[in-house]
Amino acid sequence: MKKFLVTDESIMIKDLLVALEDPACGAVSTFEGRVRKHNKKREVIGLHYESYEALCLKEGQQIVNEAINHFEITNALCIHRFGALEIGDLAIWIGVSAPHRDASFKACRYIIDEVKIRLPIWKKERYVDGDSGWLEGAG
Amino acid sequence: MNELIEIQILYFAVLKDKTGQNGEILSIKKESTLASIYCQLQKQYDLPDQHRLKVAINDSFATWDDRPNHGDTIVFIPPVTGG
Repeated sequence: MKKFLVTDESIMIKDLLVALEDPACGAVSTFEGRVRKHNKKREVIGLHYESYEALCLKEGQQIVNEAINHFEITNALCIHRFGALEIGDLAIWIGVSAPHRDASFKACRYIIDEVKIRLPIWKKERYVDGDSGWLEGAG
Repeated sequence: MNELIEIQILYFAVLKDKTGQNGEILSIKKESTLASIYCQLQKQYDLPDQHRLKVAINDSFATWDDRPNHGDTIVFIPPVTGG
């Protein structure tokens, strides 16, 4: 099963949570990254994610595999949106299941931190004043 | 060495905006490094400094000293902003 996906459609969390279920797991940690309405004092009305999909899928799978190898976890999944998103939309979802909570928290944090610096996806914000621009680094 | 090879460049994000295109086919001298190829494009299109970018050949990360082969696809990767 692929543990990292990209999609241009709304992320449906319910099915992802089911995929994480395991009777040996007492902990499930999830992270949701959502589109916020401001950035550096500018009012944002939406954004556009562009991905270099082929490398994105390879690197995303690599990041999730690293988390599975480094931490005492059972399952991990990550899905990232691309295309046009509005305020409040889910941009990234990460879920980790593990026997105990400490490893699930740490693995979830590891995945989002690595995604932020390694995944070839770029965010272009649209502002209320009609301007738009590509953001310049992990943040 | 004056032998020429053809490579494909794909542009994303700010590089797509700066060049005004999704990609292009380039004829380059065989044995050219990715750094020298980018240097030429940087001057042509006023692209960001190389030290802020990564680079990939055929959908795998590469180094700036790598020398593409005929038919390779190259992507210069500006600072990422996913998540």
